[in-house]
Amino acid sequence: MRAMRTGTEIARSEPLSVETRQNGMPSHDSRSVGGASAWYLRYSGSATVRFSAASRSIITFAVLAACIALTYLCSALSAPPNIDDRAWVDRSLQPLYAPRLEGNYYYAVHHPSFMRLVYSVVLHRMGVYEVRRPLVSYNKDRDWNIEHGAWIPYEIGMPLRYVNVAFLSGMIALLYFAFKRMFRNRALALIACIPILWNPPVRDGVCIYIGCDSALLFWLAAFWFVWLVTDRRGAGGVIALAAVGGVLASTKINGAFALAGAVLYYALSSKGARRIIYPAALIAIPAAVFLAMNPIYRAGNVNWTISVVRNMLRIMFNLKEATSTVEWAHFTKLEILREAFPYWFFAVPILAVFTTARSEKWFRPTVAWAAATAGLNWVLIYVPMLRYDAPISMSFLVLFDASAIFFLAELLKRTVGSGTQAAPAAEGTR
Amino acid sequence: MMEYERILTIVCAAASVALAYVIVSRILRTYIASAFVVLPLALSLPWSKSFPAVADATSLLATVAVLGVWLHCASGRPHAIRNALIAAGAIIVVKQDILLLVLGAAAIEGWRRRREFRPAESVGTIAALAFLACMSMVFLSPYEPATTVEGLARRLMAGTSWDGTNWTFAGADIRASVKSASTYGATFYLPLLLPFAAMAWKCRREWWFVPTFGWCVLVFAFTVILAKWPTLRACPPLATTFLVTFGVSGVKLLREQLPALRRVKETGESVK
Repeated sequence: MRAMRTGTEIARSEPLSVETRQNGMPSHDSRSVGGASAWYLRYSGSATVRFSAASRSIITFAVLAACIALTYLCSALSAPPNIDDRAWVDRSLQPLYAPRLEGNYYYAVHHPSFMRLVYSVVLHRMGVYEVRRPLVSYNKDRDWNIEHGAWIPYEIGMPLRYVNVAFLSGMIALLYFAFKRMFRNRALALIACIPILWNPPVRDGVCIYIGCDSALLFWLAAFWFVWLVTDRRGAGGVIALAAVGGVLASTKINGAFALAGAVLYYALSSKGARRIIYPAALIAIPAAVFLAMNPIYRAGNVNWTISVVRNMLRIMFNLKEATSTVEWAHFTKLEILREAFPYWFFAVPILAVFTTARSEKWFRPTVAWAAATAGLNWVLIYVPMLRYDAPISMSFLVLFDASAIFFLAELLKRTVGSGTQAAPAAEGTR
Repeated sequence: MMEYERILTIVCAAASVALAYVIVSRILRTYIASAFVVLPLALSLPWSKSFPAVADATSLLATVAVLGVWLHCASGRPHAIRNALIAAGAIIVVKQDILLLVLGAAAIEGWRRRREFRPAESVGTIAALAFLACMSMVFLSPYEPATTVEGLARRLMAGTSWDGTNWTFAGADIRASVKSASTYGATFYLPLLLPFAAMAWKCRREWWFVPTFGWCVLVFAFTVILAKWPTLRACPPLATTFLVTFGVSGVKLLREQLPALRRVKETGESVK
């Protein structure tokens, strides 16, 4: 409070002549404390005085809830039906693995089980156990399928979209808590969440799509949050991270990319035997969680498991080949980079912003998480659809927002700090 | 005729990249870092598949040339202002669409040098440039002067002088070109601008700051006001201004950080 009072007095006083030489930042022979700095000093102090911590938390959550309503909820309510909805409802209504049911093997192998479990709980709670509508014919276009009834009614589809909204809200909450932990400031954490809230791939691609992408983003955020909290906390932290990683990989296979980043991080940053033990734990525990959550992989002996994994990869590659033959869906890797990650254009200034935060504790885990997620997803995807782009843009924005806010806060703090240091000298001269 | 336009477009696009490189390397005084700054521009122009759109290529070249002229004016060399005025006049004569940008630059520079020149001199210079643009339209345009003026006014009102839709929609790559604009929206880069602007603001005492930042702000403002489709890929002048301004300040910031980065590498300095 004392510092705040001093700051407020400075802001109200005349501009000060300041001599500073900051480490790593430009030095200015003389400059005045005014404008943004004075505003910062005046209002950062008064906000603390006027509102208690609880009130500030309530205000922050109210703003976040309003933003979620404006983005995710509006998106979910306004989107037209998608033909993939029908397939996802069908696969969610089937048991996780029942070889006698038609199409069950494909459903079990194509995507892991987490979102099927969640959707099945929601559908069963609504009393939906069967949808008497034709399955989607992927040889025909969207209009043909809609015309022939291969879509699901509004009253079934909307609750599933609300599930997406819930997962994405959870993602935003986790990101907020992670940012708050970094900056120890609610307003800055809130500001860091805003670009992700309005990010088109997340808002317009993931939110409206009945599938596993919203849960993927939620678990990606959870993985990052747990990583930040448990980093350098020993074996317990690694086990917790690995457990979340297992659920992440059980949501969508590309979730495992973040795990790859964690394995590499612990292999490079640990000392002694931990250099082997931690990465091994980060492979073994998620594998165990994955096997526990996906019964098809443990329905036989080891050869069976290997054949299921092979079929899973074959389906991925077959889908890629089948899609790439269509003219509109043929993209080179550079075209995918351009479409899925348009930020590449600003590579140099982005790199500069990143380097300002390089010595922060959160920086290395966040870089490992974001680079593995964005880089490996870029390698994997073959069509830059919005929901495929979402993990790339989300992980990039998390790293960029964190670094940018750190950079802006440091810049402001140094400007203000130099003013506060010079205050007694200035008072003495008056 | 088509081949001629195609070649002219390629020449203008290449000249724009080369000029941007010269400007950046003059500011940074390093060739390799300058190449990294300009590289995205060189890579993205062919992707825009603009090749019959010769008007947009010349617009880009003129936009970059304005920055060169403004920087020369701010460099403090002998006869810099006189040379800059001659060059600005030449640019206006060749490309009348660039008049607004030149007038904006002249107004900012006149305000900055208000102690050196009387207000009447600044206003006279701006009026002379505008008159020159009108005369060039009257004598060099293939159309009737009234039609030309009306056409220019209509194009400015409709925003086509800065509208680079041809950059996006011409050529065979319609599918890919529209994609990121439709998926990421026209404004995906806006969250990046605040930290980038702060980064540029750190360089506010450098000699190149006012021309470069002013140029960036003017082009951004005119694009927002006039363009129908202000995506980065559809408006190469907009992309170029951001790239040059923030690329240069990014390299400056990286240079500041370099000693600390080296220290981390050499001593294995731990994180906070």
